[in-house]
Amino acid sequence: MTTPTEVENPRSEPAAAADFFAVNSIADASVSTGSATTKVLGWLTLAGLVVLLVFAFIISPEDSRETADGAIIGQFDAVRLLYLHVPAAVFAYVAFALTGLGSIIYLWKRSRWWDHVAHSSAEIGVVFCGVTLLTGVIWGRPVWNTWWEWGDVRIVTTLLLFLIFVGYLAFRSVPSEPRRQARNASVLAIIGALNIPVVNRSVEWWENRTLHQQSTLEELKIEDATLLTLMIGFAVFGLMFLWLLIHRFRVAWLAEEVEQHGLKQALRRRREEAQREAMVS
Amino acid sequence: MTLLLALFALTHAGYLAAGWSIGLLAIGAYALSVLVRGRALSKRVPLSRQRWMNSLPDEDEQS
Repeated sequence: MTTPTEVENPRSEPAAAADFFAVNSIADASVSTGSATTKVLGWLTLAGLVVLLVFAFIISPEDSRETADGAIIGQFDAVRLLYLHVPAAVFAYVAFALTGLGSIIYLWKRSRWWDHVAHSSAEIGVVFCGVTLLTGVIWGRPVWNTWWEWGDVRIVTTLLLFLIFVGYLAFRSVPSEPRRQARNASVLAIIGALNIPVVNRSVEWWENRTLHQQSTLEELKIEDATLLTLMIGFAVFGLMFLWLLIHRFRVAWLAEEVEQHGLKQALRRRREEAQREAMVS
Repeated sequence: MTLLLALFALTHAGYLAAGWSIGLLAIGAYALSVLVRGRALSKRVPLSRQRWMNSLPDEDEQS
């Protein structure tokens, strides 16, 4: 085991600029995490969002059907929350699964790249999972006549998944030795990711303990414009996830660069002070 | 405008407006915070060190 002073960072370059921390002092500094790829992705996401809104509110039909005795039943226009709630939930799963995968690869290869991917993906997953829970609460009131149901396994397991990854982010925000923190966070992320299939399958495994219906996609119970709108929702959230992931990854990368150079600067200053003290004495 | 008019004509319009606006605002606010953080950090790191795609082993493993 070596101390940070003995290790030369593999990314380091000769004589880092002394004014590394001075804002706006670097002539070639890029001013954002954007690139040509993210710009295209960003505009595609925004355009897709407009299309999604048009399909969700104008083109797709309301949910209503006539029973044998002539009564009209269904969710009516409340069904239009489907196109936000379900894609957000699916991409929360994707984000947490990627966090789990990144964590496994980090523990295996000790690659900081994958640790940044895991951390970035977890943050996006928490946002998407939060949106899923909020839109679920709002959707539940008109269709189930309740905001929240503690007896519903899908709701409770989703809340548990959300809290595990909020805990993961809280753990990562506590100042600590970076490698140990990354290692422990990776273990937590893998445990959290194991909850994803439980959340997803809960409506089948405990079908009598949920207000959620079983998967309508797998059995193709929805069709035509409703199905098409849902697919557009998945595509838009896919683009959005990718855009957010690239930007958030770059933020993590830059934060590490700043941190590493802060440490190097402090060590260099301390060595210079020690040399001066030695010469005086 | 058409979307707004369509929204007023819907059943459960309040729930729909609340759900969609809260959801999209939350994601939009998060996206903005990521951009702001990135912008602030980018100013402190030279372009030559903004290499995103390198997969380097943890320094612990190098020693």
